[in-house]
Amino acid sequence: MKRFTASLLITTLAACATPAFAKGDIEAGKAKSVPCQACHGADGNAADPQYPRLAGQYHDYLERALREYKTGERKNPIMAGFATTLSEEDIVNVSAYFASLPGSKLTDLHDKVQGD
Amino acid sequence: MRTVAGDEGWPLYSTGLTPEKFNQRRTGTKMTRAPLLAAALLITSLPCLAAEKGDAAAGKTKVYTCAGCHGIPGWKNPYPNYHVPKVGGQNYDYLVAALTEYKKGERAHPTMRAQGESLSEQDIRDIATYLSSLTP
Repeated sequence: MKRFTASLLITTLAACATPAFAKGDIEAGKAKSVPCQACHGADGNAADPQYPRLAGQYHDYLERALREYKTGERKNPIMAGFATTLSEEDIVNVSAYFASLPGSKLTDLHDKVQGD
Repeated sequence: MRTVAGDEGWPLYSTGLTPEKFNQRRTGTKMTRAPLLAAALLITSLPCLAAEKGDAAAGKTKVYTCAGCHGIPGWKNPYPNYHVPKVGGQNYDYLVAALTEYKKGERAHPTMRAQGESLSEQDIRDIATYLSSLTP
């Protein structure tokens, strides 16, 4: 019983420690992401400052953004053109791909505020 | 356009120019280099003007409120449920555009719209300057 409890605890901890587990198919997302790279960079770290960096961004935020572009809730002529061509599966896969990219330059603001 | 013939006309004497040069300037038949140069400088400097940066130190103070959501690793938007995006290290122009869209009500997120409305254009530039300077 002790063993079982210990293994359960380890499994639970491991599950909690996995950050923002992406459900999409990263390889399929990579194949779909070719047009994105023109503006967002081959590595997902857009060099042109008018375009956001995507590498390492949360996959579910990227999904949300793409869905909003697709429905027109978020208005951007360039992104509307691309997002409308994506299926729900594509959106999940492309988001998983960019979230998975190494070399992210993005960070949250933990310890980065005056007084921290 | 009226031109000055010969050595007639008072403006000629006040400028100290020969009649030929005076007429060229008045009629624009021979544009002087100064305005051309100024126009060229203006055009080439436009991208710099668009990316005019704010004060990073002021931005560091102004992001205090942002950290309430963007400062907690893995923090999620309650509804709809998704992770609040990482904004540190994001590109400057994009951050300015995003905050300005929230300010104008062009992006829908209620919390961010409220934040955007409270920010001046200077605040937006300061915040974007500080955020874009961050590294993981």
